Amino acid sequence: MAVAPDVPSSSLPETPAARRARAFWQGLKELTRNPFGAVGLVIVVLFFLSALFAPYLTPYDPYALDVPSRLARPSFEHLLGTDQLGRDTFTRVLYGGRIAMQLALVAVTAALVIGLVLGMIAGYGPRWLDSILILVFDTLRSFPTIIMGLAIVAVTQPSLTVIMVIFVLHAAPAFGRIARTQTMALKNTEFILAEKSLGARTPLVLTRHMMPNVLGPLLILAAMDVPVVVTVEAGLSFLGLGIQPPTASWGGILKEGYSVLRETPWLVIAGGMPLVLTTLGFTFLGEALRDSFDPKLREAR
Amino acid sequence: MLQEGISRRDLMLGAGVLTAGCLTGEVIYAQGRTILRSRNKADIESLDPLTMGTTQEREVMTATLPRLARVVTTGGAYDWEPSVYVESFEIVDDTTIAFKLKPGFNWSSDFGELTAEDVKYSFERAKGDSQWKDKWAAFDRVEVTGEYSGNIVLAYPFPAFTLTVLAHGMACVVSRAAVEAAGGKYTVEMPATCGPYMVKEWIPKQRMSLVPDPQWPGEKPDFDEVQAILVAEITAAELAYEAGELDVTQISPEGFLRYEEALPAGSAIANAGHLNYAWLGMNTEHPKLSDIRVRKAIQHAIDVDTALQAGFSGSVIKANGIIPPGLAGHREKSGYDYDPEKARAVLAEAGVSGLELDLKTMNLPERLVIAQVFQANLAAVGIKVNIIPLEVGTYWNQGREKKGEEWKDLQIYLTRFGGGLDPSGYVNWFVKEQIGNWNWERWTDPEFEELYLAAAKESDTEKRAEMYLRMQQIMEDTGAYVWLWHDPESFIHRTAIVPSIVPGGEFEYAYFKKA
Repeated sequence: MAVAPDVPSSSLPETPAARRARAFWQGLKELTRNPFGAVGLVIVVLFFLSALFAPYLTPYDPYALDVPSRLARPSFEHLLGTDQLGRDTFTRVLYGGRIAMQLALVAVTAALVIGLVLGMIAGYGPRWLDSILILVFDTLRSFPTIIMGLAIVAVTQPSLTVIMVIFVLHAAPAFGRIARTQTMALKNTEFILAEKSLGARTPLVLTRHMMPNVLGPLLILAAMDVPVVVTVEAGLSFLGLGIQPPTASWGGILKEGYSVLRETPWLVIAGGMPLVLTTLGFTFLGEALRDSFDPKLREAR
Repeated sequence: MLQEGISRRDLMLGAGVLTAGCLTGEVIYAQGRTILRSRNKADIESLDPLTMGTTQEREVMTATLPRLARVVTTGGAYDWEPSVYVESFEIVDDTTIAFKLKPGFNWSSDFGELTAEDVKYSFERAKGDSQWKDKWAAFDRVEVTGEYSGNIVLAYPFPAFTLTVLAHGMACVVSRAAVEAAGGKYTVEMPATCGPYMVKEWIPKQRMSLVPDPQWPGEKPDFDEVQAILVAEITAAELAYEAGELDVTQISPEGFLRYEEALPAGSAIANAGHLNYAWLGMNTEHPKLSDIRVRKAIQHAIDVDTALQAGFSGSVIKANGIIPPGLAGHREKSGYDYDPEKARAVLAEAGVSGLELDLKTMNLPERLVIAQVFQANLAAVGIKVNIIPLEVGTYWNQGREKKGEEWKDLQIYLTRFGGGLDPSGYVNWFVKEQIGNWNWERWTDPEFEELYLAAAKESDTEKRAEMYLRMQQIMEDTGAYVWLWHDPESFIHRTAIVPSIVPGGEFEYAYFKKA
């Protein structure tokens, strides 16, 4: 969203904030016109709403055991059946969404913030610091996520926090790389040079003038990374190294379902469908955001 | 795997026979030959009694090498009988067993006849330099009294010696001449065999094939070939069975439940003994659990029936101690009941509140389900439980001092051991010298130690049973145990086969019959 240098002159002078707002609304309009984008947006909104209002959408306690009702098939009473401990699977899917939402918000935001800060420092700072940070980014990126996760869990204990740390270590370098590239592209542009010649201090230049322009592509990447963090959680939980029982998580539901797959496939379907939908939703949304807000793509169209 | 020289017509015929076999529950009849296909869960690494270690290795050994005794189950109890190689077998006194071999059993590769010298060589070799030498501790020597006869002399009385040692694969007899010619040791290439079957071929990572030994003087085996096919994953073995690729295989607890509901056509389920035992253990030295009242409260807080229903749908036997049904000392009832009110009261009396415990378990589906029941049970009495699932190797290091520092923070754990055919093989893990190794509960009791030594030598079955009952009572009184289950080794097989499976879950191929 490097809007400053590209904005055409108009009759009335437009402030940078107004320019960004106009670009945002324009992008949003394009997003909703894109069918995939609209579908993605609906799925994402439903994802957040169902997670937020989970306690109001089901009468069941996700942790209450009812062993005599174990492995019940789907019915009006239990929309997605019950698990091995007789817990309502639909309820656990909804509450599993809360874990996914926490991961999406906290881990992705943390990765974005860390990547943004380090990337801007790398791009704006001295060359030796850039070299060190790039080395760190590339080293972290060279580890396959699940392998790194297994190594970390082996020396800690599995928990939601650990999953978040694993994801941040995995994703922050990607954010950092993009932030660095954007910063390097911007730091010699006329409006930045003008600010500096007027005596603006580096923190002000970075936070007020560069960050808004660097942030755009990172937000698109963040949307695309939500399915990644959700599947990292599912993968680790499936291996028994993620969210621990009795906390409901989609990966945990998949794991429990896998062991009784041939007796009742409902658990695997119940754990797998939200993963598929969330992945599709955020991917569609991310792609559409990129199409809408990337000025180069917009110009190409 | 297709063999060389098989024509397309043979292939079509084989496919037709295989399909028909699958549909009718028949074993394969290929060109007039009957082939029994069983599952090997791991590859063969050694067929030498000195170094063999796994079930599947013993399965091959007991089909190809002589033994003096074999295990039989009579009225739900485990006993032994002299093997087909033995003409007479007599317990002379507490430390002497006299045996006489039948003449006419010849070793392959022209290594002569099976003699008492072979028995002496095999047993004394096993005692001296074997990974089973602990099991041979009671054995002293063999005195050869004739070409076919001898006396097995024990160092001290051990009434279970025949059942636990002589009837086990570790007591397979090898040909002295053949093994010495091979340099005193061997691995998979057996220098000589003397059994109903002989090894036809071993394809590493694929299968072991046995065929009847043409010079076997006894009853001819029912099958023209036994193929022990490597299928490591148990669920894959179940699928292979359903696809007609196997005729007999062990099945998982989930598979057992599934097959009980809907058995494949032409199939039956066989259960070997319930020789495994599981419990919820507590580290008595851990500060959170050092007060016996806390441990007793946990005993009362756990709803074992519900846990077993959730984990196994009732397909296992509820345990009331460590010794399973069929063995001397099996307990019919434990000394505590599920009573959450009492658990709360005992905790209050101990002045404990806000207790948080780590429950370690192997990362297996049924264990995690059961652990969650415990988590809910303990939450109901005010104890927060964090379930920590661990991979198999990591789990078994948790209480062992040689394996790291984890034992220091070990709190409660869901664990399961497998035992043998004598109660001595169950209680031995809980003696004082096992603290830091397998006695993860880390308690000791002088009376338990005395009983352990005395019971192993006691020849009166009733007195022995009383001793083992008392030992389990001592264990329970520590508060460190919640007895959980005895699970069976379960198998599915074609109805065209009558399998022979020893209580520990090993196939006796020589005794498999066609129905």
